[in-house]
Amino acid sequence: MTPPDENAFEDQYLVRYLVGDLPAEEADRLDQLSIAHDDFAWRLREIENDLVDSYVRSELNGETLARFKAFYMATAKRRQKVQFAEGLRRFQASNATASERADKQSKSRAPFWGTFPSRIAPQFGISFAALLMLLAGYLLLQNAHLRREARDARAQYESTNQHARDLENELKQHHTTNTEAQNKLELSDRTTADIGQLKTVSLLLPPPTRGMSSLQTVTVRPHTDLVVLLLTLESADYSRYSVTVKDPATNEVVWQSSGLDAGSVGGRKVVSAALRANLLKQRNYIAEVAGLPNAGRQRIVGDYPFHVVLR
Amino acid sequence: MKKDWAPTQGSFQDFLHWLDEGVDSGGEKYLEMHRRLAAYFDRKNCLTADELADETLARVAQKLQDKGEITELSPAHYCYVTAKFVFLEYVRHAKHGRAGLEEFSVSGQPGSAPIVATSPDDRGDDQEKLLSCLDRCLNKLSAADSELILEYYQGEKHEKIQRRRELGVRLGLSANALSIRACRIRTKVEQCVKDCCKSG
Repeated sequence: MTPPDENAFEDQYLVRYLVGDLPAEEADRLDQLSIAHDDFAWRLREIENDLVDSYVRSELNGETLARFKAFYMATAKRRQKVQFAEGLRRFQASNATASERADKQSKSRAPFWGTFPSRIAPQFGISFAALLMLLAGYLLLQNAHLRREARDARAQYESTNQHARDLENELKQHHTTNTEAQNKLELSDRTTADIGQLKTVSLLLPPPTRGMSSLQTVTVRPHTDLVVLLLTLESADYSRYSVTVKDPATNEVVWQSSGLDAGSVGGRKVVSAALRANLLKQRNYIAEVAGLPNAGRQRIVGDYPFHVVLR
Repeated sequence: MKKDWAPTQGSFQDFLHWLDEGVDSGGEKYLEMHRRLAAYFDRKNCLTADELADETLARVAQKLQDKGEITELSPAHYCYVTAKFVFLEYVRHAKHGRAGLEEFSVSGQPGSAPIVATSPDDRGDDQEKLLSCLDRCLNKLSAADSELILEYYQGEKHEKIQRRRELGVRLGLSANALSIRACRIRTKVEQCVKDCCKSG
């Protein structure tokens, strides 16, 4: 049998076949291909899945809709496919709704800076000074400019100096252990000592479920190499994590990495994700963190929304 | 119909081997051929598409056992030719009232009333059960497959096309390879949901 060209049949022609709208001779030819030709069989199945999905999404109209109802829905087997498609659509819709709800909740929360001490300190039993140390560490790492500001802040909190240095060292260790990001940047030849030469901006994001994840902003300047997201975990339940950075407007995945270890910053468990700054545009993003158990499928730990400003 | 014939273990293994065409698929080729044949009979509006697919494969297996080898056509093509005969016999039996074809009509054709289609809004307990089964079946998939099927079949028209393009880039798959992978997963989930709904 002569196999068909890849584009020998238009999608609409195959739709007509599926809804019984082709003359017998033409249908016979496609019958044969649907069984004896692998590529055609898969393409036909794809077209059928899309056709059924279009029906349950009310996208069909005119003659196609009429024939779909009259012919396609005539057998129990095909009606089952429609029921499955309807179930899949509802499942996707409920997932999207849950995701939107979570997003709205996080956006409607009170501003982070105004409520941070009063809301968080009692819950975590962390002293206010320790929280300030965390913030100092965050500022230190944001960029060279912010480092100077952080040093001023550090001077104000002289008693916290040693702790802040510890934080900085820990974060540098995160940079060095993030080998995947380094490989992508072809920076594998740089040693730990060289990491400091990277123009890096860091953003510490609190756990999303503790009411402190109002939209935080990271400023990316023209010569910034890396954006390091420090994603604070509620608890370190997994040995490894994956991080996916998405554009929530399009659900497009901007960056993804898996097999990341959880580290420790200021007594809190964090997963750090270092991505190339030029991947980001001026808009909102969501960093989705998932735990990777030793066996079984990964579990979403939390979504961390943040905003990027390009300068 | 040769319903009284049953393959021996040896002849069935030979049949699987012949379908595999030298590459051991672990029975997947057989299952895939069964799916294609069942879909073919279903498109012909046969009431018992799965049974007719069984019958077709049994006949091919018997022919292979009798002849020792079939070389004039590829296995898939041979199955198609056999399926045509099975269908013609089925139609003949249907005319004598021993089997049936699903009735259908298209508006505008005289002498038949259109079948009332199930509306997408016509849901009930069955839909709830289906959703529960779907959830269960998606959980049986690997995380990657579960995400793939949900993402691949999401969205409408242009959004869907764009989403699939991005998904292919992300996974390093051509559009064709991605489509086949998504179809395989969907087929698997559909079968799982069907079994789950049946089992109650």
